[in-house]
Amino acid sequence: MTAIIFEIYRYDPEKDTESYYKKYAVEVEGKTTVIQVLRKIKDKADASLTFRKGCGCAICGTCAMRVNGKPLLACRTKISDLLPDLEGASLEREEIRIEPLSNSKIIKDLVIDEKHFWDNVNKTMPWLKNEQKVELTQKDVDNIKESQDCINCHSCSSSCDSFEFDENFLGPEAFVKLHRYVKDPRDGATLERLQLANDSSLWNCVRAFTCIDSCPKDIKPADKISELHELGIDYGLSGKAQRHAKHFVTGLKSKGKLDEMMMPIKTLGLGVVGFVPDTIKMVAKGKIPPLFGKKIVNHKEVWNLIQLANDKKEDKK
Amino acid sequence: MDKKVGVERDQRGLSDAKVKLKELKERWKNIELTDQGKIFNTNLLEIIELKNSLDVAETIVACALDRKESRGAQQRSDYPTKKKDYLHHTLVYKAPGGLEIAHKNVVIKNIRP
Repeated sequence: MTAIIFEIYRYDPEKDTESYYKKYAVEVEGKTTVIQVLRKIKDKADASLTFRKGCGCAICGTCAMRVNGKPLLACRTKISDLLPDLEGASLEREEIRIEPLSNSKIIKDLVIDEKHFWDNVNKTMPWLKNEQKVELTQKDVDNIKESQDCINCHSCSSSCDSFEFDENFLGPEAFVKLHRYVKDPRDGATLERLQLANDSSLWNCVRAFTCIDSCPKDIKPADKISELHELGIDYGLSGKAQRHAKHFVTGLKSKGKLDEMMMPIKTLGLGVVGFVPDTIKMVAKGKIPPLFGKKIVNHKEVWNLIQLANDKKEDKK
Repeated sequence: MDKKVGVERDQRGLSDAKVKLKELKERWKNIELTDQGKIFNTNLLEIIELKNSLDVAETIVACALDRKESRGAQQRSDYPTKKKDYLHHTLVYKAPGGLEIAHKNVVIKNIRP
């Protein structure tokens, strides 16, 4: 057993005007879990320490919290995951910081108000709609296996920048739920769901991948969002974002590289006029690429590679 | 409870458990409530749930003592067989003097005991 210092976020809405961190020294082994540490502190040192605990076996999603800045499930995270060299740790040096999930209102200590996460999930109509009688294949099961694994721990949406800044953006957790129903052949509301995703800032995902990093069930939410992007295009949804994606590819076809000059014009159309003031500033600083870009050498090979990749994707489908 | 009131039980273990539970219920009366808050007070919640658990444990032990036979999930080493005159439901009531045990007939339809 080694004593480790835990620095824990505290906030009592009835007593405190702002949050603070309190340090506790706890004797732990490599196999001790974070939830066991919290339990020990609450039982022996400070009964007011407040946290949520559920199944204790990584299936309910209740105990998600940030440990050393990273969202994870407290019941499954061992000290040895955080401090591989436990024997070398010392009371003076080793600290493990425990905080509630981000992008949330704090009810008390490590307990957050989950309402905004659940509201967004509920907006996606998470039930079979206009049910189709279809025989499922193994491929169908495989398609939704990951998005069906979601335990709604909120780790992904709580760490998503787009979720923080754009109120209209449903967030990775909700988009995963939406993906689960879009890819289920028994659901008959595919276009409606894709339209909803489109209208809910689906294309404001900036591909930071913090959702992929933080998911305790390896669901890779950003990949599901990309699938929804592509499905939307397949189903004929069009707008600024889809045009942007399309002209990425047409530029590659004609020039073998990203056609930075033509992109805004083709994507925004007349709307490009709004960018003129910024463009003038950029020209003054020499940051504008040549107006009529040249093709790269062997640009046809780039197009061949793209077609090869597309063929492989079609085979996968 | 795990050790003395699991699937395998006997008179000695059950009596010990009964005594221990009485002691725990007395000690419970002296628990200090550290968190006096009204918002998400898990300290208070756990104290209430502890009392409930002690009450339930007490009824389990009382009924186990009353049933001097083995049947299904109760296997008493001191009464290892199933007895015909124990084919009844055990009911337990809270009474001024403690717990009161009563029995109720089993209604047999399709599944034979």
